[in-house]
Amino acid sequence: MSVGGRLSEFGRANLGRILFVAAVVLALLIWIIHVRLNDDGVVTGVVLTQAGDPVQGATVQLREQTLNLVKEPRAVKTDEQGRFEFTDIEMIDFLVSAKLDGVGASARKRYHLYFMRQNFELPEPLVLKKES
Amino acid sequence: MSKRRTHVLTHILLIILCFLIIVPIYWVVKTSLTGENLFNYPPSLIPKDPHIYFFVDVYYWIPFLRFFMNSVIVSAIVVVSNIIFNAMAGFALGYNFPGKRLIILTYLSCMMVPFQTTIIPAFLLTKYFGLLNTHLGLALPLASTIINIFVFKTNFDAVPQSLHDAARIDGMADWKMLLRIYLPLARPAIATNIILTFVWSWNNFIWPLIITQDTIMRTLPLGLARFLSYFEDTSGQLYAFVIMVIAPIVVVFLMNQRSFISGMMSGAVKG
Repeated sequence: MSVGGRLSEFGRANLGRILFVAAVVLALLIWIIHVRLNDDGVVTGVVLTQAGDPVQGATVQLREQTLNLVKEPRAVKTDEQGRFEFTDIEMIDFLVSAKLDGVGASARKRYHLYFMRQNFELPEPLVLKKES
Repeated sequence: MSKRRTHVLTHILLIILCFLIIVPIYWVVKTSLTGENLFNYPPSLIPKDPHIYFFVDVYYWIPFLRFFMNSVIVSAIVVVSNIIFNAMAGFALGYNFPGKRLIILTYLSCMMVPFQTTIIPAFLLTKYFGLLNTHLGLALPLASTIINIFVFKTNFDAVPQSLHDAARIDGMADWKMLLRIYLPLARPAIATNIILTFVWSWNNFIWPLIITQDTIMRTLPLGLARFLSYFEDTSGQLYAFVIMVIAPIVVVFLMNQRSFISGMMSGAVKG
């Protein structure tokens, strides 16, 4: 039997396995491309008052969720639209909270990423509430 | 009617048996997706808020990719060397030669010696060859396995003698006969070799623990032990790690199960 004939017979006999391996390789390739396109390490979000107004100048803290208590949290200030942006974030599990003296503080929220340096927009705003 | 009742009872028993086998596996998968503790009350069968974050944690908290590659390389060496050495040994045992019975008896008696008793000589030999902390050293004790030699021998014994004689009359050399005639007819034996040696190598714990000194040379089962020292044993990360360790074995088995089962069955009936 010729080489072509043998290959074709092998293909027919192992079609399911070949398709499975091809699907796995394809899924891996898509995942790698997705990671490459979204790995700038940027975490963004918005801080609002209870009335829904953006808060300018609030301090947003981002701390890695870890047993290592020595690690210092990162902090940034919000702009006039209440938006904040952290860059070069190299963690997959972190806590975010916001605070502004005289306005209040938000609850500390925990987020988990799918890969290191994933670009991430907080799905819900950090709402400042008056501290009692 | 009685026959029908027996039939129904058999099926009920089989369903219960299937359930008993599947539930622990399902529980591991569920815990890896939810992190729910085994002792949660009330217990729930349906996973609540499943996610894959535990798998992400495993990937980043230990050098998973390195451990995985070590396991793949060692298993590949073990599988390839087993097919080569076991096929040659099985082929040789098909001939009649002085001392054959003694060799088979020695093989059979060696199967009864547990690996734990030969660890020290195996370690000293590996050290003598300068293979400590290497992939080859990790693969060495499993490079040829006696039970798989007999799997090949049983399959080769089923090849008609006339085929062997015809090849001999045509002047075919032994190694060519093995490669061109015997091995293509022994696919189930090859599949059995692949699966058994892959599983043994993949799950091997004690030997890699002894001969690896650097963390980067460790295999997945050692990673599991390292993981256990970090976290409590009921955490979602642990179960996710277990899934990540066993998934390749399950895939290899599912892709070769037909050949594997026929290989085991042919070994069973020809003894």
